Amino acid sequence: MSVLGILVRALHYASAIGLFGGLLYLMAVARPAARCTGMRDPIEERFVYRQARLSLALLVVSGALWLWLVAASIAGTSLGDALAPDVLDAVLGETRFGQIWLARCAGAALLAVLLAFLQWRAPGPGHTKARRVLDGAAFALALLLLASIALVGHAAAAVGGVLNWHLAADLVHITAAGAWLGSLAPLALLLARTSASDASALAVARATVARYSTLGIVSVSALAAGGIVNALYMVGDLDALIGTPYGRLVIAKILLLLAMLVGAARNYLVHAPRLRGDAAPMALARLRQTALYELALGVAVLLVVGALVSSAPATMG
Amino acid sequence: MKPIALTFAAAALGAAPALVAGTHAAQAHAFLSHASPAVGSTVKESPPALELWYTEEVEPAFCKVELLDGAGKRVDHGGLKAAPGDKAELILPVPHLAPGTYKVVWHAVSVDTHRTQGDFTFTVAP
Repeated sequence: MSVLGILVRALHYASAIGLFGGLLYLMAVARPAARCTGMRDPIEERFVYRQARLSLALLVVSGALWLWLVAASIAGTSLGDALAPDVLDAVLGETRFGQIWLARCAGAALLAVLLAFLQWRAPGPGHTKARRVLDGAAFALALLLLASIALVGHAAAAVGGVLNWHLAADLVHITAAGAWLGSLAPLALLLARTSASDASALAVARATVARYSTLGIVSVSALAAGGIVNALYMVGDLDALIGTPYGRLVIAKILLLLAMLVGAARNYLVHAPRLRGDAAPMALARLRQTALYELALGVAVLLVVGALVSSAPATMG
Repeated sequence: MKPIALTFAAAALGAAPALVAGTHAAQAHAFLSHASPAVGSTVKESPPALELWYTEEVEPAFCKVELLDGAGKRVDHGGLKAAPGDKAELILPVPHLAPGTYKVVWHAVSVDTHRTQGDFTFTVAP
């Protein structure tokens, strides 16, 4: 388990999450909120596409580094020798990791084209049917690029094939993480750009926060449930949780998650209801700060995840 | 839909696998599950092949298995392959083995790219 390996994997998870969560936020939160308050396009629109393009670029870079590290590891060579054509050939052509890597590469390339096209055609009047199709395709690719990470993880390595319950839980867990973490930045942006003295902007903020809360509750529930199943498979019992390095990393992840939940709960129960009248400016600031605080903790969680996926689960053979 | 209803739906979705699969904690990482000839066993005849079953699916292209005799000399001729239909099993053809104790040294790569290794012995004693 090398530090470089942990960082590369953490970056790869973070970029896949940023890519998917942003687009999900746009489709499920920002656009509906704008529509129901009579606005044409949400102000988060350009930011989300920028987040998507940046995330995709980081995904490609971290993906290439990941392949390099894996090739060196499984071929037993140094990093320098791992770039030899026959080594890469064997990894890409003869391993599941390599095959999935190639498929994800193709997906990333296609998504890059879609995002470039969407940017080029950007400020159109509202949303034509063609744009909706492109948006839908981009969203589907972003979801696949995130979810497919589970296919090269522990869950998918089980005897008897890829289709197993551990993998199902892992897919739910990863997608929920993408939905929750990836949508925090555009939410923070909206809150930062909303002026409490502008009544219609405040109405948009209320609608956005309400929809975001729903997304948040669903994501966190799915995340927790999927995570519990994962922990049962990978840690197994209390002894392993406390007594192994892997188990302690899981504890760290849970504690960070609980800290994030405290923030999310305060936002939902305390600050969101105060987005009216005199209390609005303070509520806006608190909501935004909490979202950023959750985002920072989320980054820490992903570093722990990087360490977890680089090491042996506590349930040893 | 109300948030509460959605919450339960999401929790059910995530937890459904747990309900179906029970709380059996499966093993992860490709450790040796069992072998033929069995680990530490004595067999009466030279085995037709060496079979190794792992706890996870493995990548045959990057696995290595060597059969050494009592003097530490390699007696197999390579040719390691995956068992047809079982991605967690490797098969190594072996030549006819004279009576004696043999050592199997294996290096495995799981499909989740993690490496493991181990060794064990068995005895041929007609």
